[in-house]
Amino acid sequence: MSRRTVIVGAGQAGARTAAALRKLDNTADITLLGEEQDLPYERPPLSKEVLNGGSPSKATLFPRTWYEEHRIALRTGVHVTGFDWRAKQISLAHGESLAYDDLVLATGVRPRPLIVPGATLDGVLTLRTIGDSTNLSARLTAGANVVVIGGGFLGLEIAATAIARHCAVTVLESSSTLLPRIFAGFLGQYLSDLHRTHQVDVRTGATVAALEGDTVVHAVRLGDGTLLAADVVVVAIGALANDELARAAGTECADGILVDAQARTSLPSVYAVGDVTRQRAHRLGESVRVESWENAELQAQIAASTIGGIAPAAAAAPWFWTDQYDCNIQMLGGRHADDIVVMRGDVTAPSWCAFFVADSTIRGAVLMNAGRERRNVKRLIDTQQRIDCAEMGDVGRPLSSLARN
Amino acid sequence: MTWKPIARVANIPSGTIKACRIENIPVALYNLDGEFFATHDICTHAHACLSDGYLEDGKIECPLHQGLFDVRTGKALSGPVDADLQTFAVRIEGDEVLVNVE
Repeated sequence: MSRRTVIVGAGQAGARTAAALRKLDNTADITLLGEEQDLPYERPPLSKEVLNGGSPSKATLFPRTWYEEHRIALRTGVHVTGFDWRAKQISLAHGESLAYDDLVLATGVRPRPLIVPGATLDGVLTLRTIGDSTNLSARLTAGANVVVIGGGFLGLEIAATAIARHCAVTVLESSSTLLPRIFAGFLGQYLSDLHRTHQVDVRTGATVAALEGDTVVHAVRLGDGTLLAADVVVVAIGALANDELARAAGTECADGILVDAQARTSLPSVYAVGDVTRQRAHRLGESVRVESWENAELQAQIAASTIGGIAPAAAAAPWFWTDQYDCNIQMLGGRHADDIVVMRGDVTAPSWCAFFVADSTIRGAVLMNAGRERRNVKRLIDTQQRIDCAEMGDVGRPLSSLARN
Repeated sequence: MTWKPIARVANIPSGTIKACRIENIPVALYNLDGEFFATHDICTHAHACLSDGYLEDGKIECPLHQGLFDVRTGKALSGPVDADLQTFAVRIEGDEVLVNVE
């Protein structure tokens, strides 16, 4: 009898796990269970193209026929109530149960709720699903006062899209700078300036005391008493892991399902992938949740390989991107606060690279409108090749001539 | 079959890409070690010019989000892309590169 894998969670990581499993094993019995009604989709367009009025189909991973052709039993609108790892059984709402040989948890995250008076008023939104994106999009009308709470990548992308829709946009960030933990704060000032240039009112060190309105929100009251008019409030203050199902079944969790480098949880034959995971050891640190498109892709591959008994590929420098206005910002690896910063190109130019260097090797990089260089930079980081800072900073020296295979 | 002259061989050194346009279709023209190939210039994932991308081993990587395509076949290989890239027939006549977009 063919091996049966059940994947709980039909987002990007879940669907990619199904695709990777099928590629490895033509006879495997694969079931993909999703709570939402939509076909599995990716989230990057939800704060950009789809939010700007583009078709939600832009985000869809595969058409429905793909699942049939690849013999993946996709079931949407299904709620999983629990699983028993000893009996290898999953229970669904309405009393149905499913047997598995391998179980992959891909239950994702949900927006961290804002806990202040008025947080449940109409007009207070979050952005996670396609439905969230189209709801918010409908409210981004020209001239609307949009207050984005949270100056992380999601909040900033929403702000940039709202500006494209001619809204009046305020971003509130409780830290004293934007993105203080990304490359030790390297992008904070740059992004504040970028958004201010586009007429966003960026307020750092700003806390929210209350959201005001009768049934519909009309203002945000800040901790210092300031009142900001608001037609729409978007809460983008991070995410909480949907790890309740795993925890209830006895899987080790800590705001995320703990996994090793092979995507294994603490329970036998139970794996976890994507945003819901907290990785015990990762290039970016110990015990981190890496909520990125790339991580969902990679962990899907890794889980499928582990289930298939194949050694997964070696870990490489993590990669992340964001699109805001006409800036495509790509980030590789990480940075320690005391790393040397080597600039390639001027930070005021439309395109530049920054490298974070320690002991003549590159630990991480930011590529501003310089995606073409990503391959070379990734190679330099992954091979820990020794570099010369003067050469790296010389735009006349092609990076391809510095990155050896 | 309508072949249109699109570039001169000498203007596209080996290992490089040239952005061209034929009848309003953006075309990326590649020189892979002396052999020429043409694809649609716009990535199937998001609006980016592949001619600004990274070319290596016959594969073109989109500069925006790292979608990877086989230049010869247009096949989507990895990254956030699943739709293949349109390819066009290429022919060399003397010093001229001709492309057929039909």
